[in-house]
Amino acid sequence: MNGKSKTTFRWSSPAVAALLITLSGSAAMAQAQKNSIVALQTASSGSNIEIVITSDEAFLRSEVPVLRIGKQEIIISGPAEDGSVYTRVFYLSPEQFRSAKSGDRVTFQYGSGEGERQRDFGTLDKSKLTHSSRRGRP
Amino acid sequence: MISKPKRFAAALATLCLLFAAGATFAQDPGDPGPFAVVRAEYDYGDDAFRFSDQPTELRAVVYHPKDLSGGPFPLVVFLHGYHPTCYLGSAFFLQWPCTPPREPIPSYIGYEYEQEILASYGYIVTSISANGVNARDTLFFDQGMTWRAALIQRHLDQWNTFNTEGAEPFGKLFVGKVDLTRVGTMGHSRGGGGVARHYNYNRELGSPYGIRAVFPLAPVDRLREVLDSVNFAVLLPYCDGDVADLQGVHYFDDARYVEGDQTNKHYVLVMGGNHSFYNTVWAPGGWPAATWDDWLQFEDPSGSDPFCGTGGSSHRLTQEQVHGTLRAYLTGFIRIYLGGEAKFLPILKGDSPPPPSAMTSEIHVSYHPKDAVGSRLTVNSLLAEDRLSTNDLGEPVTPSGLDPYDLCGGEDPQPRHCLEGQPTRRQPHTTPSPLMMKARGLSQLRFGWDDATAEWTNQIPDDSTSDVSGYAVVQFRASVNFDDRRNTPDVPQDLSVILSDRLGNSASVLVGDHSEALYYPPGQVGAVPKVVLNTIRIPLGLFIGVDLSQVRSVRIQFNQRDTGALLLTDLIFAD
Repeated sequence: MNGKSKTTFRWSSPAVAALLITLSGSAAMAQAQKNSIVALQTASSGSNIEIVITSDEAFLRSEVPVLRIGKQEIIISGPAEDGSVYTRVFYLSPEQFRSAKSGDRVTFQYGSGEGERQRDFGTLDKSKLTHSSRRGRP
Repeated sequence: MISKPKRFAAALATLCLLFAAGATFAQDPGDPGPFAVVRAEYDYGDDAFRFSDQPTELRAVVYHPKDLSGGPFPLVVFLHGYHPTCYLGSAFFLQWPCTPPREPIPSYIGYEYEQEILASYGYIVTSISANGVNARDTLFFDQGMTWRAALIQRHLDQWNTFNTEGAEPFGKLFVGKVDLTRVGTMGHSRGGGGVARHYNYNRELGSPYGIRAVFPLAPVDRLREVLDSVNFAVLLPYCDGDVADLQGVHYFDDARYVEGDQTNKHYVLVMGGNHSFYNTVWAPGGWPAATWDDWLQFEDPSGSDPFCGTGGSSHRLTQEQVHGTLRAYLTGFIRIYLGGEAKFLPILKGDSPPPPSAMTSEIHVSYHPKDAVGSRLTVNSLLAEDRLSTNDLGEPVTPSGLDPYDLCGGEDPQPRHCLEGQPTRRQPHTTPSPLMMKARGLSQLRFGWDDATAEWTNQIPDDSTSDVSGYAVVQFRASVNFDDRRNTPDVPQDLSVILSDRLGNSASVLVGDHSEALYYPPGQVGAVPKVVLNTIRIPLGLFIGVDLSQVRSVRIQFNQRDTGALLLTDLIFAD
């Protein structure tokens, strides 16, 4: 794949990397998986909750990146701090996070349409929520 | 039955019309023009403009006539779309500014092939960089569309400075040479959404600049922006693997019936065209990193689709052909609406085949004229349920032998989509946006027939409305419904259009003799096949023997195939 060199698969920040190390063994194993939730954290500023996902398929399309958690669609997102196109950070409002339930299916797709191709990121585990030193979204 | 003399007269009329259409090729809008051209750049750094405290570069490549003495010249602004922003070797990244030793990917230089042509006809064409927006646009609810609009406006302000006082790096070169009352914009992909947002953004600011023409190229439509009161054309590549749902068709659909709108709307469906080839930096071989063929990258990695894939039956266009389609249609569009060269209108109406510069004949053009007597008489907009029985002129609508016979895709209670169970990216006219989930799509007449006696008739009032002699064509938009098995795969549909006058004279014209719009939608993989309703225009001069000053009905007879099913809308008389 174009540009998909080994050098591009980097964690978005030292904080995320540290978080990965301290997560449970199953989460650490996630690096070997195709799609993973690598962090669930509150931003140091603001009240948003960040879900950091990685995939071995880069996030490149022009359509709106959409993270589906159960029936909710999350559309506010940003790139990793290091610019990796294999990592994406989605931002949930406190209300959205409250509405989400552990066990909700987490999928990624471009756009909102039904029948669109989805990437499966497993299920949400709200007990994994941690506090980040990362600066939140602007 | 049509008599032999009438057939002869019809054939003669067809020949005359073909000759007239051919005459427009005396000049191809995409041929190089008479002006010698100069390339220049301006660059005020990676953090020269801030939107919501986000750093954005102020950088552009400019093509302009070498001899500016004939100015002021109209200004055209290009805005590229979403793409990785930085690279190092073959690796690429999304950040802004780029952290050294990474370098910016210059997406803004990807349209120089088109800038050069436009400049050769006396336009100043600036293509602006928007990497700063691309890096962080999705942090905003509108996905950076207002940011893009503000960036365009900032560049226009800069051009205002170039035009009034002068500024580095050009000094006084452009003082008095830029006509900011005649501005056109072209945006590609997310840039297409940006130029749409910008048109209304400039309006919200009191229209300091005269935006006369907007050309979204393979655009996103995040906000369902309604572009009224501006001439626009949307280019839609059928084999787009990136904005694969061709959501940009909403711009056309949403702007059709704004009351009093004195501007024209067009879209150009490029069969075999894809997304990334329009930008030379994004296409394979165009840059050391982040290049791809979007169809293969996102929709069909094995290239197996018979139409958009890589096999022997593929209709995919080469990069050179893709550039040709922009060269022909964007140049023609700008020359019509900024340059006043109406001689190219037949190309943008679909009356003339694609000019040679397009390098392909597989193009379908749709057109919706301005709201003015002599330009458009709406017979049936099919916007709402009552149009199934009573048309926009208040006259009866009569279906015969049609099943189903309903509306789909429009406002509630219509079903949201017309092809239930098909992916939304195969139904561009009703594809949703995550930002505007409640917004519905195009209201379409959905119908089929099981024998060749079926027909659909719209009556015209017995008053001055029945005088359609001032119009050039009767037209409608239609697509073969590939989801209905009454259509035979790979076989185009055909039908007859019949006009009748007050005295009972009738004449019938076969659509297949004048349009290839009723093709069976090609493809089998991912986003194709897809339904795109193409305009079918039948010249009124072909209805021999009918008194065009007293037309009483428009009848469509489905008499060319035993069975079939179509989606249809916008039955109008048009210029």
